[in-house]
Amino acid sequence: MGDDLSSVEDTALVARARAGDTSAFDDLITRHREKIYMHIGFMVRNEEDALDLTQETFIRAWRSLARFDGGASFLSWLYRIATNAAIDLCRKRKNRPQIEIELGAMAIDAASRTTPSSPETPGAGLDRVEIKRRIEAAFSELSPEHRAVIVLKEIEDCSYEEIASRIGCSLGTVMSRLFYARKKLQVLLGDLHEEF
Amino acid sequence: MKNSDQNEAQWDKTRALLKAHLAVPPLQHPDFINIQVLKSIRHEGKPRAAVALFPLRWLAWSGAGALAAAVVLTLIFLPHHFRPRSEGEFISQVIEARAEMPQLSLSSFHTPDERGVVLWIEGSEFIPASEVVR
Amino acid sequence: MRRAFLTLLALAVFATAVRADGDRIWSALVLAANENPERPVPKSLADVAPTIKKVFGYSSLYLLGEKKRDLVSGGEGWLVPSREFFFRVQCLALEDTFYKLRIELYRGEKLLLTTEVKLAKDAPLYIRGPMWGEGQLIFLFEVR
Repeated sequence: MGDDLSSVEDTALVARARAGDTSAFDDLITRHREKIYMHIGFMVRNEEDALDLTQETFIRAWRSLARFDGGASFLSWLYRIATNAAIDLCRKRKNRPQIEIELGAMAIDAASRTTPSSPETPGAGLDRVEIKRRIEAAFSELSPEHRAVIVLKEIEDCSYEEIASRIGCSLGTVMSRLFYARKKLQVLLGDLHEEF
Repeated sequence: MKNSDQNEAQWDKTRALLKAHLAVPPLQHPDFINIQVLKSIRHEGKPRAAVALFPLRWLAWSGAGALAAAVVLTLIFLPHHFRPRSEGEFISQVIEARAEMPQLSLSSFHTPDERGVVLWIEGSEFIPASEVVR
Repeated sequence: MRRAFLTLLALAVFATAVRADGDRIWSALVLAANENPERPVPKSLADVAPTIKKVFGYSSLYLLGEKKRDLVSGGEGWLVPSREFFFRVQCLALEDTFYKLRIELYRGEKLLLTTEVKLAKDAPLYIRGPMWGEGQLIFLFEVR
């Protein structure tokens, strides 16, 4: 109900912003900046980059307001811009994990029918900092597209349809990406389960 | 596709780990975003080629009209001998799938209506349009 | 030549299988592409078109070929909706509400995929195939 109301108000604000009313756009920024910042932050894993891209997202949105057709909600449209910006940045910097994880023994079998089984538990005795470091490293191993679906599905609890709308791809692509991203994270983090 | 319950349980643990540890620092000085964005867009002026919202309203009314028509047609044509089906009775499912070529990988999921099933192959080679596949 | 012989032999075996259980399996080879304007949906794809468009994200569908066969418990045979791609289908079991099938997908003489599926009536299996030209090949199976 709350979402519906906010969507209705968004529509009115978007109409005013299109006519050049920057105070309406200011309200739209205030309304959505936290969500967009968090989403980008989850993807790029760097506070400064997240701030820069949040600004960039709103600037791009302003420039493209005429192309916003109202088919999806304004927030979904913002998410799509933000996700693309974050993917572009991840591709540019090709950030690899700070800590290399030996993947050789855990390679994913392309034809595997089940999630690969976890290796022995070298994580015994890992403290919280170490677990966090492992998770950050594993997450950095994902491609930007795979990160986007993991963030949207597992952290932001979006439905498949919402993810497809926010990324701008088909439902099948979302499900396929999610399948591979989960499989890879399972391989990289399976041994942490007993620690958790 | 076997051991799916076990995989699901394992993934729940991984999901919990991700949620617990992939934190993002809260947005400090949120108004700073507004200030920076507005500074930038005021230079640019009005968004280009703004259009009226008529299409949106038109779409909403069309959607509501179509929905009403669909309800009426369903009530007229719904067979009287319709029998409720038990949940999961008529759902297709991939039990097992194996790619016979190493470059292929497979995943499977249900269609949005939950009845059909999709087997998604990645890595199969591109076929030029000049080749006949019919 | 060898392929044609194998196909004919299998079709003959399939055709002489013991008893039809009433249902038929329909398979089709579909090319999905994005075109503006959308082309009309082929009649035999009318039921599956919305799902294909939603799941695979394409606007226009071409039916490149289709074949139907009777489903017989224990029977097996070929379905050849196109010269390039075809299937060997084995009916492993007939349960109350579904058929358990083993399907092998071939491209020419090359086996690409083997899968075991439970197919309920009117609940299709969609297989995402390779890209062809500007479009996406999709293989469909449905008990009708």
